[in-house]
Amino acid sequence: MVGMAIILAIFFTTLIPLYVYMSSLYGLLSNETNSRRIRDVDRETEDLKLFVEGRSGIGQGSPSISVVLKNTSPLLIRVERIWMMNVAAGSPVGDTPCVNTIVDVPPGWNITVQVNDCTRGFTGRVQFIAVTGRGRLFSSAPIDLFQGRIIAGLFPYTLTVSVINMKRGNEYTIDIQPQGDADIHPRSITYKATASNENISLSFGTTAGTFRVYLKENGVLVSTARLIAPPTNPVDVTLPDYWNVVFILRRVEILPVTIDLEIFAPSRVLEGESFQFQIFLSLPPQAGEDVRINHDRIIQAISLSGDYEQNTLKCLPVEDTLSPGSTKTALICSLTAAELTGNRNFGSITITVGPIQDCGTGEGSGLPYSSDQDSTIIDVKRQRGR
Amino acid sequence: MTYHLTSSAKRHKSRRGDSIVLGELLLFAGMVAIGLALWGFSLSYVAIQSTKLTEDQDKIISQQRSFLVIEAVSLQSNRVWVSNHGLNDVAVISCTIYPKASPSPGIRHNVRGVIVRASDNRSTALTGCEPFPGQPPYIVEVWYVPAHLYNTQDLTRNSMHATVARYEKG
Repeated sequence: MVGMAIILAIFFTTLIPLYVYMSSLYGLLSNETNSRRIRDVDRETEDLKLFVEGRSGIGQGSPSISVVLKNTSPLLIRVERIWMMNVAAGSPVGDTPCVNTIVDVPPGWNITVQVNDCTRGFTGRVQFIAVTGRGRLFSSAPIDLFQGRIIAGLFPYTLTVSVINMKRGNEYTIDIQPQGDADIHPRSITYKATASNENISLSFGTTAGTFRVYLKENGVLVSTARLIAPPTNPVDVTLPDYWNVVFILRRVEILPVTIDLEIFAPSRVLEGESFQFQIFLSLPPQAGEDVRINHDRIIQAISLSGDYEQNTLKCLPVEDTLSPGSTKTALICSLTAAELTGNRNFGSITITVGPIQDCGTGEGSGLPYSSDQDSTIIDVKRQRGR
Repeated sequence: MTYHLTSSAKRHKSRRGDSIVLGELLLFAGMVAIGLALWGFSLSYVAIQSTKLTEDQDKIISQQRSFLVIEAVSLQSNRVWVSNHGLNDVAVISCTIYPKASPSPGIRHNVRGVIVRASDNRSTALTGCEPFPGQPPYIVEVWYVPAHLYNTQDLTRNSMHATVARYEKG
């Protein structure tokens, strides 16, 4: 009876309160989880679009740039901050938020926020990022600014400058000088030609107006004698009536030069010994292009005489292309010296590579490049003990 | 036939009855003592378990109420701007920036409990992040714990309740 009473006491004073307490804790946790889920759903439902607008005509005193916040979600969105990010650096401009005041955007509304203070004087690509009260980040498309003005609105026209028949290795600079109120961006571009007779076309953002276009080669104004067209340098062009300038340089004629061929071989070998020799090619610096080596022609031009084993000549190609002024190994060959017959203690092998008409082929022109001839004599010595 | 008990037999019977009563009393007292001890043990067990449950629930709920967002990063000035959009204040314990192709370095305990308040609408600039000399793409990881769970004595214990906020660039 007493035991039963104690068991009941334990049951009612400990287990039931513990169960009730656990249930209430579970209820609290469920509520919290539910609240968190609701917050997450609200956060996911947020949808804000950012558009950058600007009026930035030439001659305007202060450009006006604004960010339009468009709420396309069914919830009120509280924008706590707007950052202006430098896209190239990946960091906020000025290390502070662009707009640090709360902006409430009701569902379906567009709110315009002026951002002139952030963009003033800035040149580069920027992106605006809005931080909402629920912790979402929404970004605008990147835009290009030039001294605090939107480039797209600033330069509505495009001037194209082409340069034809550039000389390999030379630097070409296009300088453009706006006349009067006209403006252009950029005002100068330098390009180094990487191939003979290379052509380029470059585009510049401009306003309407007249521009003077200069073409310089290695920093020197290109003379009219070097130009097929236009008849003058610099040349004036007026947009939007005319929108391109084509500089046609006189084609630099490529004349094939003779490739210098050298055989490098050991001066002395033993009878019956296998040895290697190499064939080097040197392209004079006067060559106007790279030359592709014709390995088969060189192998065919190799002639052997003297004390060597027949059919033991084997050659492997090494380098494929010669640049002007470079010396490269074209072939590595192996050959076996013959056993000396009779009482002879010495013999010789003569390796000759005759002149080759098409030792190489010009990569730009496709012209054949010839090579000179070379010859070397290798002494063959009898092995001791024989 | 009638039998009469002798006086010694009567005395013997009376002593035996006393010992039965005494035995029952002792048994009763023992049971009561054991029952009380069991009751006390149960009460203390329930109290300990309730406290532990409460603490565990507090940690879980606090974690659910914490929500830190990385708003912006500047590699040049080595700053990371964060804001707290949860319901609890949080303490930042680690801030790392690493290349996107690399695995996460985990918690470094390089930030000593910078408090980011939930009630503020402002962003907080963290300056203790590991410098990142590279270029995008990179990932920023900020580990944080509910502020009232932040352990100042044993920093490594904070990682038990830590949550991570990530920011990806490039």
